[in-house]
Amino acid sequence: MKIHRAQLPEGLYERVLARVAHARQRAARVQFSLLAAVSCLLTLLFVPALQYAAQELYASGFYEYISLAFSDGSLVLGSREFVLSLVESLPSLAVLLVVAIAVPLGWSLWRAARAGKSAFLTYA
Amino acid sequence: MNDAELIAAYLAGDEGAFATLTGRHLAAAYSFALRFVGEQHEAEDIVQESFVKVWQNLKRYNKDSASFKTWLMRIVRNTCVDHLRKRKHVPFSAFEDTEGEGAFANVPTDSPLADELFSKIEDVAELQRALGQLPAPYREVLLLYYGEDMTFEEVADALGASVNTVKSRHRRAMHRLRQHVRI
Repeated sequence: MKIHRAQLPEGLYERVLARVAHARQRAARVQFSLLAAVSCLLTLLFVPALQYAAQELYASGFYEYISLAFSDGSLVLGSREFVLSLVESLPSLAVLLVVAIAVPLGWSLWRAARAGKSAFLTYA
Repeated sequence: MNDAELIAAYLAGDEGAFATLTGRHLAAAYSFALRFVGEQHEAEDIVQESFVKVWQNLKRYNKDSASFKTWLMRIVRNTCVDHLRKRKHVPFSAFEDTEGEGAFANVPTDSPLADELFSKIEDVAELQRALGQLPAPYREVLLLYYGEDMTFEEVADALGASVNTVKSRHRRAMHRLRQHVRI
Protein backbone atom coordinates (compact mmCIF):
# COMPACT_ATOMS: atom_id res chain seq x y z
CA MET A 1 0.00 0.00 0.00
CA LYS A 2 1.29 3.44 -0.89
CA ILE A 3 0.25 7.06 -0.83
CA HIS A 4 1.68 8.26 -4.12
CA ARG A 5 3.80 11.36 -4.20
CA ALA A 6 2.42 14.58 -5.59
CA GLN A 7 3.86 15.84 -8.85
CA LEU A 8 6.55 18.46 -8.40
CA PRO A 9 5.61 21.93 -9.67
CA GLU A 10 7.76 23.09 -12.57
CA GLY A 11 10.81 25.09 -11.47
CA LEU A 12 10.51 24.23 -7.78
CA TYR A 13 13.98 22.66 -7.73
CA GLU A 14 15.51 25.85 -9.16
CA ARG A 15 13.52 28.02 -6.75
CA VAL A 16 14.69 25.97 -3.76
CA LEU A 17 18.32 26.26 -4.84
CA ALA A 18 17.89 29.98 -5.50
CA ARG A 19 16.43 30.49 -2.02
CA VAL A 20 19.29 28.57 -0.42
CA ALA A 21 21.77 30.60 -2.47
CA HIS A 22 20.06 33.81 -1.36
CA ALA A 23 20.20 32.74 2.31
CA ARG A 24 23.82 31.77 1.87
CA GLN A 25 24.67 35.11 0.30
CA ARG A 26 22.90 36.96 3.07
CA ALA A 27 24.74 34.98 5.76
CA ALA A 28 28.04 35.62 3.96
CA ARG A 29 27.35 39.36 3.86
CA VAL A 30 26.62 39.44 7.59
CA GLN A 31 29.78 37.43 8.25
CA PHE A 32 31.79 39.69 5.95
CA SER A 33 30.52 42.83 7.76
CA LEU A 34 31.41 41.42 11.18
CA LEU A 35 34.84 40.22 10.07
CA ALA A 36 35.58 43.49 8.29
CA ALA A 37 34.72 45.37 11.49
CA VAL A 38 36.94 43.05 13.55
CA SER A 39 39.76 43.48 10.99
CA CYS A 40 39.47 47.27 11.17
CA LEU A 41 39.59 47.18 14.94
CA LEU A 42 42.61 44.88 14.95
CA THR A 43 44.37 47.09 12.38
CA LEU A 44 43.79 50.09 14.62
CA LEU A 45 45.44 48.16 17.44
CA PHE A 46 48.16 46.73 15.22
CA VAL A 47 49.61 50.11 14.10
CA PRO A 48 50.45 51.42 17.61
CA ALA A 49 51.62 47.94 18.64
CA LEU A 50 54.03 47.97 15.69
CA GLN A 51 55.26 51.48 16.57
CA TYR A 52 55.76 50.40 20.17
CA ALA A 53 57.70 47.33 19.06
CA ALA A 54 59.94 49.43 16.79
CA GLN A 55 60.73 51.82 19.67
CA GLU A 56 61.51 48.91 21.98
CA LEU A 57 63.76 47.33 19.37
CA TYR A 58 65.73 50.59 19.07
CA ALA A 59 65.89 51.01 22.84
CA SER A 60 67.07 47.44 23.49
CA GLY A 61 70.02 47.68 21.09
CA PHE A 62 68.65 44.87 18.98
CA TYR A 63 69.34 46.78 15.73
CA GLU A 64 73.00 47.24 16.72
CA TYR A 65 73.34 43.50 17.24
CA ILE A 66 71.71 42.87 13.88
CA SER A 67 73.91 45.35 12.00
CA LEU A 68 76.96 43.84 13.69
CA ALA A 69 75.84 40.39 12.57
CA PHE A 70 75.49 41.63 8.99
CA SER A 71 78.86 43.34 8.99
CA ASP A 72 80.62 40.28 10.41
CA GLY A 73 78.83 37.01 9.65
CA SER A 74 81.43 34.92 11.45
CA LEU A 75 80.16 36.34 14.74
CA VAL A 76 76.77 34.64 14.26
CA LEU A 77 78.24 31.33 13.18
CA GLY A 78 81.11 31.23 15.63
CA SER A 79 79.81 32.74 18.85
CA ARG A 80 77.02 31.17 20.84
CA GLU A 81 77.14 34.10 23.28
CA PHE A 82 76.43 36.52 20.46
CA VAL A 83 73.29 34.64 19.43
CA LEU A 84 72.11 34.54 23.04
CA SER A 85 72.74 38.28 23.40
CA LEU A 86 70.82 38.89 20.21
CA VAL A 87 67.84 36.90 21.54
CA GLU A 88 68.07 38.56 24.95
CA SER A 89 68.00 41.99 23.35
CA LEU A 90 64.65 41.21 21.79
CA PRO A 91 61.88 43.17 23.58
CA SER A 92 59.75 40.10 24.26
CA LEU A 93 56.66 41.95 25.50
CA ALA A 94 56.50 44.14 22.41
CA VAL A 95 57.09 41.20 20.08
CA LEU A 96 54.44 39.16 21.90
CA LEU A 97 51.98 42.04 21.57
CA VAL A 98 52.59 42.34 17.83
CA VAL A 99 52.17 38.61 17.30
CA ALA A 100 49.06 38.52 19.51
CA ILE A 101 47.43 41.10 17.26
CA ALA A 102 48.89 39.99 13.93
CA VAL A 103 47.66 36.39 14.16
CA PRO A 104 43.95 37.20 14.71
CA LEU A 105 44.24 40.06 12.21
CA GLY A 106 45.55 37.67 9.56
CA TRP A 107 42.85 35.14 10.39
CA SER A 108 40.03 37.70 10.24
CA LEU A 109 41.34 39.14 6.94
CA TRP A 110 41.52 35.65 5.45
CA ARG A 111 37.97 34.81 6.64
CA ALA A 112 36.65 38.19 5.49
CA ALA A 113 38.13 37.60 2.03
CA ARG A 114 36.43 34.20 1.84
CA ALA A 115 33.11 35.59 3.09
CA GLY A 116 33.43 38.51 0.67
CA LYS A 117 33.94 36.11 -2.20
CA SER A 118 30.74 34.20 -1.27
CA ALA A 119 28.81 37.38 -0.62
CA PHE A 120 29.72 39.40 -3.66
CA LEU A 121 31.13 37.11 -6.33
CA THR A 122 29.70 33.59 -6.23
CA TYR A 123 25.99 34.43 -6.24
CA ALA A 124 26.07 37.92 -7.64
CA MET B 1 27.12 8.57 -3.55
CA ASN B 2 24.82 8.08 -0.59
CA ASP B 3 23.38 10.98 1.43
CA ALA B 4 26.11 10.94 4.09
CA GLU B 5 28.81 11.02 1.41
CA LEU B 6 27.07 13.91 -0.35
CA ILE B 7 26.91 15.86 2.90
CA ALA B 8 30.58 15.18 3.58
CA ALA B 9 31.43 16.29 0.02
CA TYR B 10 29.44 19.51 0.40
CA LEU B 11 31.07 20.31 3.73
CA ALA B 12 34.44 19.68 2.09
CA GLY B 13 33.65 22.32 -0.53
CA ASP B 14 31.79 20.49 -3.31
CA GLU B 15 29.02 22.98 -4.13
CA GLY B 16 27.17 20.59 -6.42
CA ALA B 17 26.70 18.00 -3.68
CA PHE B 18 24.00 20.05 -1.95
CA ALA B 19 22.11 20.46 -5.24
CA THR B 20 22.23 16.69 -5.75
CA LEU B 21 21.00 16.11 -2.22
CA THR B 22 18.17 18.58 -2.74
CA GLY B 23 17.14 16.98 -6.03
CA ARG B 24 17.12 13.56 -4.43
CA HIS B 25 14.73 14.48 -1.61
CA LEU B 26 12.70 17.36 -3.02
CA ALA B 27 9.76 15.23 -4.15
CA ALA B 28 9.41 13.59 -0.74
CA ALA B 29 9.57 16.91 1.07
CA TYR B 30 7.11 18.61 -1.28
CA SER B 31 4.64 15.71 -1.25
CA PHE B 32 4.61 15.63 2.51
CA ALA B 33 4.23 19.41 2.82
CA LEU B 34 1.47 19.58 0.21
CA ARG B 35 -0.59 16.85 1.83
CA PHE B 36 0.06 18.24 5.28
CA VAL B 37 -1.02 21.82 4.61
CA GLY B 38 -3.20 21.18 1.54
CA GLU B 39 -2.18 24.29 -0.39
CA GLN B 40 0.34 24.29 -3.21
CA HIS B 41 1.92 27.72 -2.78
CA GLU B 42 2.23 27.29 0.95
CA ALA B 43 3.77 23.84 0.43
CA GLU B 44 6.31 25.32 -2.00
CA ASP B 45 7.19 28.00 0.51
CA ILE B 46 7.55 25.40 3.27
CA VAL B 47 9.85 23.28 1.13
CA GLN B 48 12.06 26.26 0.28
CA GLU B 49 12.21 27.29 3.94
CA SER B 50 12.98 23.71 4.98
CA PHE B 51 15.93 23.37 2.61
CA VAL B 52 17.31 26.68 3.85
CA LYS B 53 17.12 25.24 7.38
CA VAL B 54 18.81 22.06 6.15
CA TRP B 55 21.64 24.13 4.65
CA GLN B 56 21.97 26.20 7.84
CA ASN B 57 22.17 23.12 10.05
CA LEU B 58 24.03 20.69 7.81
CA LYS B 59 27.17 20.90 9.94
CA ARG B 60 25.14 19.78 12.93
CA TYR B 61 23.60 16.78 11.18
CA ASN B 62 24.66 13.54 12.83
CA LYS B 63 24.39 10.57 10.52
CA ASP B 64 24.57 8.18 13.46
CA SER B 65 21.41 9.53 15.10
CA ALA B 66 19.09 9.45 12.08
CA SER B 67 19.12 9.04 8.32
CA PHE B 68 19.22 12.25 6.31
CA LYS B 69 15.70 11.64 5.05
CA THR B 70 14.34 11.23 8.59
CA TRP B 71 16.15 14.41 9.64
CA LEU B 72 14.85 16.28 6.61
CA MET B 73 11.27 15.13 7.17
CA ARG B 74 11.50 16.29 10.78
CA ILE B 75 12.50 19.74 9.56
CA VAL B 76 9.74 19.79 6.93
CA ARG B 77 7.17 18.63 9.46
CA ASN B 78 8.20 21.29 12.00
CA THR B 79 8.06 23.96 9.32
CA CYS B 80 4.57 22.76 8.33
CA VAL B 81 3.46 22.98 11.96
CA ASP B 82 4.84 26.54 12.19
CA HIS B 83 2.87 27.50 9.08
CA LEU B 84 -0.32 25.92 10.41
CA ARG B 85 0.11 27.80 13.67
CA LYS B 86 0.49 31.09 11.82
CA ARG B 87 -2.46 30.33 9.61
CA LYS B 88 -4.92 29.08 12.20
CA HIS B 89 -3.58 30.86 15.27
CA VAL B 90 -4.14 27.59 17.10
CA PRO B 91 -1.28 26.03 19.03
CA PHE B 92 -0.40 22.67 17.51
CA SER B 93 -0.16 21.22 20.98
CA ALA B 94 -3.90 21.83 21.35
CA PHE B 95 -4.39 18.79 19.16
CA GLU B 96 -2.73 16.45 21.56
CA ASP B 97 -1.25 15.77 24.93
CA THR B 98 2.20 14.31 25.48
CA GLU B 99 1.01 10.89 24.44
CA GLY B 100 -0.56 12.23 21.28
CA GLU B 101 -4.08 11.46 22.45
CA GLY B 102 -5.80 14.61 23.69
CA ALA B 103 -9.02 15.49 21.92
CA PHE B 104 -9.15 12.18 20.11
CA ALA B 105 -8.70 9.86 23.04
CA ASN B 106 -12.17 8.36 22.67
CA VAL B 107 -11.69 7.05 19.17
CA PRO B 108 -12.07 3.26 19.10
CA THR B 109 -8.83 1.43 18.53
CA ASP B 110 -9.90 -1.31 16.12
CA SER B 111 -7.68 -1.08 13.06
CA PRO B 112 -8.99 -1.71 9.56
CA LEU B 113 -6.52 -3.26 7.17
CA ALA B 114 -4.66 -0.51 5.41
CA ASP B 115 -4.55 -2.30 2.05
CA GLU B 116 -8.27 -2.92 2.13
CA LEU B 117 -8.95 0.71 2.99
CA PHE B 118 -6.57 2.28 0.48
CA SER B 119 -7.65 0.00 -2.35
CA LYS B 120 -11.12 1.46 -1.99
CA ILE B 121 -9.90 5.02 -2.25
CA GLU B 122 -9.25 5.00 -5.97
CA ASP B 123 -9.37 8.67 -6.64
CA VAL B 124 -6.26 10.66 -5.66
CA ALA B 125 -8.37 13.73 -4.96
CA GLU B 126 -10.57 11.73 -2.61
CA LEU B 127 -7.52 10.50 -0.75
CA GLN B 128 -6.26 14.08 -0.52
CA ARG B 129 -9.66 15.21 0.79
CA ALA B 130 -9.83 12.37 3.30
CA LEU B 131 -6.28 13.03 4.52
CA GLY B 132 -7.09 16.73 4.77
CA GLN B 133 -9.92 15.95 7.16
CA LEU B 134 -7.67 14.11 9.54
CA PRO B 135 -6.17 15.97 12.50
CA ALA B 136 -2.56 16.97 11.81
CA PRO B 137 -0.96 14.48 14.25
CA TYR B 138 -2.74 11.59 12.49
CA ARG B 139 -2.18 12.91 8.99
CA GLU B 140 1.57 13.24 9.42
CA VAL B 141 1.91 9.63 10.59
CA LEU B 142 0.11 8.31 7.49
CA LEU B 143 2.05 10.58 5.15
CA LEU B 144 5.40 9.43 6.47
CA TYR B 145 4.49 5.78 6.88
CA TYR B 146 2.61 5.21 3.63
CA GLY B 147 3.92 8.11 1.58
CA GLU B 148 7.61 7.80 2.34
CA ASP B 149 7.85 4.11 3.26
CA MET B 150 9.32 4.96 6.62
CA THR B 151 9.24 2.47 9.49
CA PHE B 152 7.38 3.29 12.71
CA GLU B 153 10.77 3.88 14.33
CA GLU B 154 11.75 6.37 11.63
CA VAL B 155 8.37 8.09 11.81
CA ALA B 156 8.75 8.36 15.58
CA ASP B 157 12.22 9.83 15.11
CA ALA B 158 10.99 12.34 12.55
CA LEU B 159 8.09 13.42 14.74
CA GLY B 160 9.96 13.39 18.02
CA ALA B 161 7.42 10.98 19.51
CA SER B 162 7.63 7.49 20.96
CA VAL B 163 7.06 4.47 18.73
CA ASN B 164 4.00 3.50 20.78
CA THR B 165 2.51 6.96 20.28
CA VAL B 166 3.08 6.69 16.54
CA LYS B 167 1.50 3.23 16.41
CA SER B 168 -1.46 4.49 18.40
CA ARG B 169 -1.88 7.49 16.10
CA HIS B 170 -1.60 5.23 13.07
CA ARG B 171 -4.37 2.97 14.36
CA ARG B 172 -6.63 5.88 15.13
CA ALA B 173 -5.82 7.60 11.86
CA MET B 174 -6.84 4.52 9.91
CA HIS B 175 -10.08 4.36 11.84
CA ARG B 176 -10.90 7.98 11.14
CA LEU B 177 -9.88 7.64 7.51
CA ARG B 178 -12.32 4.76 7.19
CA GLN B 179 -15.07 6.95 8.59
CA HIS B 180 -14.24 9.77 6.18
CA VAL B 181 -14.32 7.58 3.07
CA ARG B 182 -17.48 5.83 4.27
CA ILE B 183 -16.35 2.26 3.78
